[in-house]
Amino acid sequence: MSIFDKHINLQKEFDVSALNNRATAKKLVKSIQSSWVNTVVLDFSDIEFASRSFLDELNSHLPHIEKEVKKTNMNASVREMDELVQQPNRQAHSPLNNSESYSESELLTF
Amino acid sequence: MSLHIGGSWDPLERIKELVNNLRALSSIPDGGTTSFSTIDFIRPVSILPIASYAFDHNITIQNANSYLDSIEFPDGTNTSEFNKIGQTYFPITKADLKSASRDGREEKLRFLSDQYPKLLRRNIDDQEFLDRVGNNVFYLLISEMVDNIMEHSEADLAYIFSQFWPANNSCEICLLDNGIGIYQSLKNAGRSVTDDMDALEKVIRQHLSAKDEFGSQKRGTGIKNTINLLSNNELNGYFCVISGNAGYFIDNNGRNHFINLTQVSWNGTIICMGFQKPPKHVDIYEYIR
Repeated sequence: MSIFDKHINLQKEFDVSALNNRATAKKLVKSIQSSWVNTVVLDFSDIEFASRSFLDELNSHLPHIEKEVKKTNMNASVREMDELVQQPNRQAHSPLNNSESYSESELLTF
Repeated sequence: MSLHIGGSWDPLERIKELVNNLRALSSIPDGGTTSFSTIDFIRPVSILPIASYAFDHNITIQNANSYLDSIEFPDGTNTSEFNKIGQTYFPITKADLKSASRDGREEKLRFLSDQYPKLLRRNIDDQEFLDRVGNNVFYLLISEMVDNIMEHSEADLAYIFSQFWPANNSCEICLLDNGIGIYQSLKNAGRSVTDDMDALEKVIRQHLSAKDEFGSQKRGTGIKNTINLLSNNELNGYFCVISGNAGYFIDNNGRNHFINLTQVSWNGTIICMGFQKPPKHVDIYEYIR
């Protein structure tokens, strides 16, 4: 790491072991954007879980940031979620995979 | 009118019972008094909305029992007192967002979605259940719903209450807020919605969301992924959402209902999620898109 890199330990930065929401990602993006360095290293050490919302928000902004952003020390679970949110047409197991199935739902009045 | 909490294990029956209880509460003036005529078996979705409504409207509910005292009904405990919660003491939890700044709101809800899954796991005394469910199921279920409160609700108060029943290896989590609800949130974001039911149908069927990104609308995935995870033969669960006078319920038995609430409306959003011990370890990533 050079003096022109910024290292952000996410567990310490946000005092959490799970990165769970879009607001946290937005805050992180602001911090990256306001930094004067060319390269930012996001260190996921001790992060147990990252939600789809967090990673979706983060990843959607990265292409618009004129810096190199590196992600390091992701555990297997966080890495899997990170890869998953970057696959826009991924199919998942679902009881109702299309909107037509919902039209079969019976309307109840309570 | 008094309140009735029966003994049914059927979540749809309990939703119906809840609606009846909310209707009874709404007939009581602020500052008034009511009571429970029956308390057979308390579950999160049966009691949490009652607690929130009673607190918001300063309604006294008599005939509470010792279990209700132990979960600190109706006031609940604040997120700042999480460190006091022990293994046999798992009360209603409340995030008071009233006077908080935007950063303060986010901080409280971030704390809730980071810490609550750990507390819930600590209160489940069944290692096989915990091993099969893993950390990620708890994180996913709670974080996606708390994120919706943070992003869209504009709520003053958010509540969460959970229970685990060792006798039948099942867990139920209820979250709610007293915010603007799904319809108003979508309307404020400029979406074409006509009422609570129209808004909820579009969220469930079309994944409509209030989120925008770089000038275009984003599709919502939180509720969809939560339904995928719960309504299958691994977790054998159910999911219910109520907002305004509309509701939606789905379970792994193929029951899939929109619900029209008559003469009662919830100002905000109620979420109820239940699941059972899975036959093997659950990989949440098979259910996310």
